[in-house]
Amino acid sequence: MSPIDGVPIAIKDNYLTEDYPTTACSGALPLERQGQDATIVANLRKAGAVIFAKTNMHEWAYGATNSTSSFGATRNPCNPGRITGGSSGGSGAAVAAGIVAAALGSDTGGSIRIPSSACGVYGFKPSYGRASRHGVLPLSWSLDAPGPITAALDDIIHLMPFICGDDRNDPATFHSPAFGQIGLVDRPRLINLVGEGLERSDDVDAGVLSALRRSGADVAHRGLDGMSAYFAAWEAILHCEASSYHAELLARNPSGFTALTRAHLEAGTRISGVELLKAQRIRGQLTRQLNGLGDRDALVLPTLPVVAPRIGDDWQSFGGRQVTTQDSMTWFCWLGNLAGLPCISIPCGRSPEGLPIGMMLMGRHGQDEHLLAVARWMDRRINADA
Amino acid sequence: MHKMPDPSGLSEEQLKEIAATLKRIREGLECADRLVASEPSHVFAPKIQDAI
Repeated sequence: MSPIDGVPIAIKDNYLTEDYPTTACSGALPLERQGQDATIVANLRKAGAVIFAKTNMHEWAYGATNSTSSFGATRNPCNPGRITGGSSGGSGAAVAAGIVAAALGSDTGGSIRIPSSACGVYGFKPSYGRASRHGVLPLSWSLDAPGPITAALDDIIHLMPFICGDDRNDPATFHSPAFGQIGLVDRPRLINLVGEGLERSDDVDAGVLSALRRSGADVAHRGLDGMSAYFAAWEAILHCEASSYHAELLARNPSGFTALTRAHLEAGTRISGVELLKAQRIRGQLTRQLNGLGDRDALVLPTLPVVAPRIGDDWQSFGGRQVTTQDSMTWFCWLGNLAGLPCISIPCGRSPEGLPIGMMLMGRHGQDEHLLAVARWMDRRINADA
Repeated sequence: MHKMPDPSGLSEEQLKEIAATLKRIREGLECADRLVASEPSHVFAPKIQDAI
């Protein structure tokens, strides 16, 4: 028997599943079975997991609130007046509510980590190229990464061997090693990223700093130049790739997309080739700058700059800034997608009003096992009493 | 004089949303000039170039 034999797992509605329709929670796709499993779903099924249900998501994963879906908005089990965040909000809610021990999500700018943080559970985005995207409807193929959301960190470790590895149907995974053992680490060295473009609310800042102190990790604090340029690069690549993927369906069935998604897709068609190439060059620079930050086991940030926003609130204020709720959700997370890094969100405390706060750790590309070892070291110290 | 409708068929509000998105992207890319001055265009993040 495998460690996941008989375990019910919920699947985000952008993964193809043989026995359920796959709609990406969009009105543009028919409510019909596709008769095929995504590679990861097939691997889980083969290992004995029970594919339990499909979960709600932000339409086409093109947003981070989970307020836009053909099946309606998702509510946060920690407080039904709050959003779950998205785009894997249904997966985060299903795990947080105790319906399943684990669910699959996908992450283009934080869509696994955001609902994990907002709902008080664990979410892991593997390095780009470690987990097969085959059969996962794309948002932006060079930023997308599939991964799990779970109630416990060890459950991520149990699942990863069935999620990572070389898949002949996804060229990005070619020569990707099988998932290895999670070793033991000594007191990890972390770089806490702070400064312009990395602001966060006082409650979240206090929660993360308190958890870092409790953990006993060796923490240095550093800034990161060029945040607005890096964000522009991420956004340009996202919209261009999404517009390219959806062009045919959008021409055939424009009314199947919500007005907001249509606007995003139209924006992608108005970005020039020169601008897109510049964005790709900026992406290379980000990788180099992160590598130059110094010796460390992981970078650390809050997963979100705010706790789960109230349903209906369109704006968030924190750190002297006022930003849309959408932008507040991806505020830190997109960095990991632009550089293709493994990232994990772990719960690290509660705000004074009782809402979960998440801490994000970002490792080095391809070193997913080491990042999980660091996360386990941290989790055992931060959440020892949980 | 009537304004010509946008050929995309999008509403005024959607067009404003698009203009704001594009403005933000272009301003961000412009302020990146010093970052990419010495950056060869063929070097992207590890593995990601394989999928582009």
